[in-house]
Amino acid sequence: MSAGAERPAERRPPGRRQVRLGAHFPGVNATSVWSDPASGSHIDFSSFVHMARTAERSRFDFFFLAEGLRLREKKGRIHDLDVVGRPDTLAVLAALSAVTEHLGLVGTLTTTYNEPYEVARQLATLDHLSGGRAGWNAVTSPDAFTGANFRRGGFLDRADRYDRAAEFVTVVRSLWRSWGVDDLVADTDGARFVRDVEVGAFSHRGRHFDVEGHFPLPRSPQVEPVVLQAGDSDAGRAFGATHADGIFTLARGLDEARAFSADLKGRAAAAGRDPDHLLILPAATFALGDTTEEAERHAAEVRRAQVSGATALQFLERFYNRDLSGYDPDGPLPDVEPLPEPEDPLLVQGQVVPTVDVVAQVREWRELAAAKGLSLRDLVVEVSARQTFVGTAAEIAEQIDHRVQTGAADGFILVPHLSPGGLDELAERVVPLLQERGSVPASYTGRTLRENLGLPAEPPVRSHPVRSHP
Amino acid sequence: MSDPVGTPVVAVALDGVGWHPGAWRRSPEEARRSATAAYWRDLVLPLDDAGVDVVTWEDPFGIPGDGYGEPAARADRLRVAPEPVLLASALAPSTRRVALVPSVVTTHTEPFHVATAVATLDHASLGRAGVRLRADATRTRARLLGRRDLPPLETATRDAPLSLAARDEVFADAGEVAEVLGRLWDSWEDDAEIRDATTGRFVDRDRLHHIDFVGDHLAVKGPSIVPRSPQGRPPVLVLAHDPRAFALAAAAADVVLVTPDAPYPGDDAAGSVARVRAAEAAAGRAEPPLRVLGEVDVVLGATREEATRRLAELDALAHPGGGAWRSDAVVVVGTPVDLLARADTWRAAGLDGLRLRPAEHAVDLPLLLEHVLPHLVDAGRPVLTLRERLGLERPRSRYAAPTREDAS
Ligand SMILES: Cc1cc2nc3c(=O)[nH]c(=O)nc-3n(C[C@H](O)[C@H](O)[C@H](O)COP(=O)(O)O)c2cc1C
Repeated sequence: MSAGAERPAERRPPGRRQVRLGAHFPGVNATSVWSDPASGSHIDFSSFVHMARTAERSRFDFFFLAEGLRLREKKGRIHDLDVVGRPDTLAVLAALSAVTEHLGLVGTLTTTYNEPYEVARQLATLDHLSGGRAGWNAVTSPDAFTGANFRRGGFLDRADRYDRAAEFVTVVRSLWRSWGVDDLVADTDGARFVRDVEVGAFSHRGRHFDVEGHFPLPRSPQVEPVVLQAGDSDAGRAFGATHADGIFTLARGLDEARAFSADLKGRAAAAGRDPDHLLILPAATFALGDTTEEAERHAAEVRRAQVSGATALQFLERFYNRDLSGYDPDGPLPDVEPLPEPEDPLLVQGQVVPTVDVVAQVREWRELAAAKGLSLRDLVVEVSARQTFVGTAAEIAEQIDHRVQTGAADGFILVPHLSPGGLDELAERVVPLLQERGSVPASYTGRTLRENLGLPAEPPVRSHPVRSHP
Repeated sequence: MSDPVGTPVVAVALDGVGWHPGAWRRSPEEARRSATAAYWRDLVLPLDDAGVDVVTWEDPFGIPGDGYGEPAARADRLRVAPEPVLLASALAPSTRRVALVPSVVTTHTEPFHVATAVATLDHASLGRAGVRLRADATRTRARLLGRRDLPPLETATRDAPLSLAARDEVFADAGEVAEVLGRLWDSWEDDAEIRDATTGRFVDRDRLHHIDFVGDHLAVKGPSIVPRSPQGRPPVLVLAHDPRAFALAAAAADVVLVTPDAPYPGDDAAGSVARVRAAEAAAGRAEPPLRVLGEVDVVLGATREEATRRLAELDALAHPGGGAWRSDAVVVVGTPVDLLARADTWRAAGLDGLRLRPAEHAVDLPLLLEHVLPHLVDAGRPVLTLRERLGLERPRSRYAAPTREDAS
C-alpha cells in the first residue's frame, strides 16, 4: 500500500498531538555544505521550486526563508567561508505561490528596517496571491551594522527592539483587520465599491509609529497571516508569547526543550491565550541512514564538511575574541587566553555573540581536546552543532514524534544541509512513517496555512490601539 | 534618429481592472478578485503568448486616486492596491517571454529592499525584470508610513511654493535611490561565487564591493545580499511630465515614458523626443540614449461611435455629477485602425514604442489582442532578456577591474 494517501485525517489516535513541519531553505548558515558535489545553487529559482515541491508532496505545513540584510564581515571584509548571498524573501515566496497549491509560505522580515504599512500590505498581498498561505517570522535585528544599509541607519537601541516589534505587529494586525467581512460590496447599481468611505481607515499614534490612512486591500483569506517569532531572550519570549502564533527557536536537549516549551506556553496562558495556539517550532538538522551506524557515519562526515579548517578558526575566534588566523587548524587549540571583549570591534559582524563565560568555555574545551587527543578542527567538529536527529527513517520518525508527544515541541522546522535536494530523502522516507502513526495528516485538510497548523481560522482580536470603524 | 530596437517596443500597462476610474462598475466580479493570482494570470498569459514585450503594474501605494493631487477616499472607487513587485514575482514562473515591470514608489521604500527584490525578480524570471521608479509628493501617502513629513500637495496651482519644495525633495531623493539601485546591482561582480574547495572560500570577496553611497537624503553601505542577476542591472523606467522627471530619467533610467501633446501643448511626438534629448544633454548622459515610449490610453470600439459611446458611459459611471476622465496620457478613443495609425505616426517621429493603457481590461484587452497587437508585435519572437529586447548591452559591473580592452 502506498504511504497512506487515502488515509483519512480522523484516523489519528485520540489525544495524539500533531507534528507541524516546516522546510527551511538552506543558505546563509553554518549548516549548509557547499563543497559537496551535490550542492546546487542557493539563488536560482529552480532550487526553490525543487525544495518547495518536495515539501508539498510530503505535506509539510510550510516553506521557510530566513533573512539577513547585510553580508557578514570580519575586520571590514566579507566573510567568505560559508554560503554568501540570498534572494529577497518576499519576492521568492510570491514566485513560489505560483508553483505550489497548499504549502504555507513563511518569510523572515525584520520589524526594525521596515514600516508596518509596507509589511502589512506585502503580506496581505502574498496572502491574497497564495489563497491564504502567507506567514511571517518577525525578527528584531537592532544592530547598527545592518542599519548601515537603510535610510534611518542604526536608529534603534537594543533595549527598544521588542518594544518597537510589539507596536509594529499590533499596527500590522490592525491593518489586516481594517476591512470587515462585508466591506467589499462591489455594488454597481449603488455605485459603491466599499460599504462606506471609511472602510480600511486606520489611525495610530504610539511611541514608535504615527500613521494614518486607508488600507488598500480587502480582508485576505487568512485575515491575519500566521506570525512566528524568533529570539530567545526574556524580552523575546515575552513578545512571542503575547503576539505570535508560533515560536521559531533553537534545537535543545529534551529536558531543556520541555522547559522552554512549558515556559512559553505558560506565558501565553498567563496572557489569556490558549497555549495550544502558540506553536513551539525549533530548527532541526538531521542525518538519515539505512542503518543506525550508517546514519552516525554520515552525520560525522557532514559535520566535518561543515567545519573546514578556516571555519573552525573563525568559530573559535568568537570565543577567544582574538584573531586566530595564524593558527594551524590541524594543530592544538591556541595557547593564548581568551579576551573578555573582542580585541577589535570589527572582528566579527553580523553574527551571534556567545553569551557564555568564554574563559571557562575555552578551559573546558582544552580539557576535552587533551582527553580525546583532538586537533583544533576536530574539537570544533565535536562541539559545534551536532545534528538534532540522527538515525534510520524509523528512528528519526520516533525521535520527532516522541518530542512532540512529550511536549518538547509542536513540530520542527527542518534545515537540510544541501540545496536543493537536501530534504528529499527525509520527506520521502520519514514523513510517511509519521503519517502512519497519525501524527501528520495524510493530506492537506485545511484551506489555509492557519487551518493546516490547527490555529483558529478567525484569530481573536488582540489589543487594538487603532480606530476600528463600526 | 537611428533605430536601436528594431521593431517597436510594446508595453501593456495593467492597473486594477483598467485605467478608467469607472471600469470596476462594468467588471465588479473582476474588481472583487483583483488581488488574486488567477485574476492576474488570466490577464497576463495571453499577452505573453501574443509576444507583447513588457507588462507594467502601477503602484498607487495607498488607495488609488483619480489622477494628480492628494488621493481622496471615495466609496465609489476601486480600493484594491496589491504590492506590484509581488504581483510581478508571482507571474514570473508562469510566463515565458514578457518582461515584468512593477512600479515602485521611491519616496516611501527602502532602496536596499527594492534593489534586492527587483534583482530577485530578475533571477526568478531569467532576465525579464525591470522597474519603474516613481516619486510621490502627496501627504496622504506619506502619512501611511509616518516617516517623512510632507505638506498637502496643492493642486489648484501646480506651482504653489510648498508643493514645489516637496516635489524638489522627493525627486532629489528618487535620484539618490536610482543611484543606489545601480550600485547595489553592480556590487557583486558576475563571477563572485567561486566555491573554491581547496581554500574553503565560497566567494571571492575581492569581487564584492561596499557601495559606500552617502547622499543628502540617504546613505547605504552595501554590498547587496543578492548575487548579480541575469541582466546585471534590470532596466529602469521613468514616466516624465515634470521637468524633474525628465532630468531623473536622463540621469538614471533606461526607458522614459512620455506623453506627446498632453503636458506641454504644442509638443508633438517629435517635440517630446527632442525634450528627452535635451534632458540627456543637460545631464551629460554617458549611457546609451533613453528608449522613448509614448503613453496612450485606449478606449476601443468597432467604430469610432462605439468607442465614443463607451467612453461616455464610463465617464457617466465615474462622474455621475458630470465630468470627464482626466488622464495624464494621450487618450485614443477609436477603432484599432485609429490606434495603429497613431502608433505609426509616433514611430515615424522617432519614438521607440508605446505603452498601451487599456481603459477597461475586460473589454480593451481582448480587442487589443485580436485587432491591434498582431500588427505591432511578433507572436513568434524568441525569448529575450528585457535588456536584449531594448537593444541594450548587459553592463559590466562598475566595480569590476578594467579589462585589457578598456585600457587600450
Ligand atoms: C531560531 C532563530 C532564528 C532566527 N532567524 C533570524 C533571521 O533569519 N534573520 C534575522 O535577522 N534574525 C534572526 N534571528 C534573530 C532574532 O530575531 C533576534 O534578533 C536575536 O535573536 C536577538 O534577539 P534576542 O535577544 O531576543 O535573542 C533568529 C533567532 C533565532 C533564535
